[in-house]
Amino acid sequence: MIEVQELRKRYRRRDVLDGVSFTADKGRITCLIGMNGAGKSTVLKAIMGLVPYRSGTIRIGGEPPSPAVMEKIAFIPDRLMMPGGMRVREALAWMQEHYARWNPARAEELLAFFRLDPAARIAQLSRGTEAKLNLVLGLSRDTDYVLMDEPFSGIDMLSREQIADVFTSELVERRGVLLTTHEIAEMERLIDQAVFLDQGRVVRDFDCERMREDEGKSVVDVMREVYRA
Amino acid sequence: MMHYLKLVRMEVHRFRYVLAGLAGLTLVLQLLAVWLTTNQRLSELRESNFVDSGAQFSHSKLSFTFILYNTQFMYALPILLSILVLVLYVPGIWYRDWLGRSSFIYRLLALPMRRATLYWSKLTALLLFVFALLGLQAASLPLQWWIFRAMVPQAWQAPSYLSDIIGQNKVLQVLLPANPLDFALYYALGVLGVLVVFTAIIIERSYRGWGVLYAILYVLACTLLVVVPLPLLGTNHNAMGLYPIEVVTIALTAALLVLASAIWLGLRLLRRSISV
Amino acid sequence: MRRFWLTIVLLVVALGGIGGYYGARAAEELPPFRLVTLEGDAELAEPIALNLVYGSRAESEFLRIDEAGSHYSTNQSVFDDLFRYNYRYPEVEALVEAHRGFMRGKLIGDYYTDEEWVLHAVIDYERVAKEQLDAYFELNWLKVDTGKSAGGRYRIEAMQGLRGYANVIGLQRRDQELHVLVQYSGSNASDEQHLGVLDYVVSTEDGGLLRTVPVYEATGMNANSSISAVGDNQVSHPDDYALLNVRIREEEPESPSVTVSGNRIAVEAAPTASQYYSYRYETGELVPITIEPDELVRSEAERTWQGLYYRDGVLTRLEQADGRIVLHRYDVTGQTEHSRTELQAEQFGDSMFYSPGLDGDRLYAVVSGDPYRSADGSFDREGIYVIVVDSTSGELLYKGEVQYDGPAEEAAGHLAGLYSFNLYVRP
Repeated sequence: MIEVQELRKRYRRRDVLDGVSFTADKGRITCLIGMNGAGKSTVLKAIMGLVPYRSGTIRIGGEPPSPAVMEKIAFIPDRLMMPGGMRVREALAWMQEHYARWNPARAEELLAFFRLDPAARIAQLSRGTEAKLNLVLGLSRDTDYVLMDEPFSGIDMLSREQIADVFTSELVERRGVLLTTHEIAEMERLIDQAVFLDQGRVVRDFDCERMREDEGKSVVDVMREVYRA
Repeated sequence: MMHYLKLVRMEVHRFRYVLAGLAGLTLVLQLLAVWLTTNQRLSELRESNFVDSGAQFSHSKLSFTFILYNTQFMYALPILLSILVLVLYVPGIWYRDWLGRSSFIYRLLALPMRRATLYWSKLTALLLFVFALLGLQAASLPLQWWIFRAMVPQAWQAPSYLSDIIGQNKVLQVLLPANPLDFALYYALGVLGVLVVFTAIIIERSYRGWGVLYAILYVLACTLLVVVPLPLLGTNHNAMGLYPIEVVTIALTAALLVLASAIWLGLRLLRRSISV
Repeated sequence: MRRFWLTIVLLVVALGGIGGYYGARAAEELPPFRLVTLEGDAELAEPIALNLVYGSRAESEFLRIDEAGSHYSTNQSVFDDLFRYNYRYPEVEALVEAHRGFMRGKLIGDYYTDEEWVLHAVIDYERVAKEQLDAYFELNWLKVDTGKSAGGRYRIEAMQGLRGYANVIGLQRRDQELHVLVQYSGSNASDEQHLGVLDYVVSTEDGGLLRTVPVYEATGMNANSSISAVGDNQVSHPDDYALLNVRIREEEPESPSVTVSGNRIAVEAAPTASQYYSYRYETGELVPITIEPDELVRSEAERTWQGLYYRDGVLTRLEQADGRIVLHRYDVTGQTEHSRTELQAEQFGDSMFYSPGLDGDRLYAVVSGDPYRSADGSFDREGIYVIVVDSTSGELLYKGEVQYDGPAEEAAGHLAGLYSFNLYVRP
């Protein structure tokens, strides 16, 4: 599992993260939920070592982050983050070149599933296609964990449905998924654990199924409670 | 190790068109310069009814050295342009990865490798570009010489020596100095400069906002530390009571310290403080 | 591996191009020469170096030839530039090596050394007011066996109120007394010129100034007049006398006349009256010396040299014109006896003398041929010889020749490109 303990980050006199602690288990889909600027993306980036943080502990599979550990974790950022001049197949080749656990068969499968043109240049792709390619790059690696930052933001509805399909497939089931979103309504049926962030702190952290059964509340209901209070 | 080589290859691949352009420009412009000057001189000779006075360096005979002496600007232009482009690419090779909203740096920093690999791969690529263009320049000299020998009739040719040829062009004298020790010194200082700039860039990217100021101050501090000791302490008038060899040792030590600190600081910030 | 082709190409071009360049450069050597002993005592060749120019390339190459071989300055590194003082002043270098601590910060100035002591003196100026400088000399002494050193800073009062300069022209030791011979020159507020020499005597026991001996003083002459010591090397050795040359120069002519003879152009200079004196440190006596006028008439001759050399009580005047050298020797202690020696270049193998100089009793010179190139671009000469002659008797002590250190067929061509001889003898 991915463990985050007391993560703190200050940026320009603002406590972006003020003691964030939670766990994302393997085999479950954990979702960080919060308003814009609540620090969700920052948590993911901190886990990936893309931003520095002041204090706190991060453990991935029990180990602190290191180059070897990075092989076990895939990051799908909110944008594709690849040079515009690259072609789709070159982007796949680049990932294959640099990551040991690349699964070419799966990559082909996903390419076909999303109907992506290998020869297309990245700069010419639409937002939706870009997001699909992003998923391909992230999921074609045999990693234990997948982090996704706003996988649906700015994507058209049909593409969203395609992406959502991936979530329910076995591609995702065996891994630990940690994602962020502020569009809860769509994600509700897919996620297992919800972690609410507000002003740099975890305000609610619960299992969605249990919440539904025990208290009869959906995630959206809890959200209204938390953010309207 | 493999990540390092692959990243070097990637940097080379990204720069290939610019490199090809500079290489082509250098070859073409310099060959053109040699060809034009030789032609011009040949026609002058023909008009003046060439008379061989027999003296070893009579003004009538044509040497390749002489040709080089008369092509200063056109010859130097592609070299200066290459230098400019490479200098701009020292920060360019980094900032390129931060372009736009979709920054490639995300991917690079997330790779399962030590961050230092990124630093070294960019340095290696830059050095490859510099020395390859330099090697091309050195290799194109015999080519130009050959063209010259093909153009000028045997009887009108005067001998030339490599050291004289290089001596005719001020830019070449600095780029390819006579003494290999000087070559090592100049380019070592160049590497030092590149690494200081690298670290300054990493400083700027780690402390957004004030980062620019810190970076500039850092570059200034390094420059002072490297440049000041030698003239300050002086080698001839030993006002501080130090012998010249001691002054040189101090200056070199200062430069080495700056180098070590640049590398240490740059790598440390790259590992811990850099932010996308 | 296939994808790395461009990277590999770059690496190959870089290494091949630059490596090839330096390889080609190294292979293209400048011609080597050597000073070879023909007759006489080969040991005399050891301190000799001939600085000259090799002109057969597009640019003149400066080189130095000695018995070990030839050394060109073209391919020197910038580092060599920084350490060049070693070569220029080998005596100072020797002092630095022997007394590294004492010599620290003393690379400029005048020195004296004997078996027991090393002295260093240097002039220093202090700004007192606007356009007013006070002149001092700093004197430091080292007793070699104990390693103890001391020093002091002494004011040159004669420079008070004068705008000009001072310099050390003599440094000697007599038992516990150190003599610093200082020459000063300057103009006062009313633009009147002062010129003089003082002997400052300092005690090694307490560093105090024992006395100041006025050696020479004059006022009212032209600003370009000066006093120098003959045989003023950077490092002095024990001597009872200093030989002074007082040069009083008159005003420069308004429109100097110009004479042309052959390839030489002579411009009329201001008339200079040189008067020589011997100064005896022990007594403080200054005695004028009469030196006969030049023998060799200058206007006819094309290549001339005139030099005055002094060491250990003997003053030697050397005159040279083309292929003739005349040496006059005067005994400074008695100021009466003198000997005269005449030498002809033909005696030694060719037509002209170059760069003659005296070291004690030995005359060093280059003997070679006509300095002007003939039609084919080479110099007309038999050879380039270096000779060492006893100046008292004219006897040849050593003769060496500059030879090309390579295949015999090329020798004549390369030797023909050498010119502009400057003989240097390491003290």
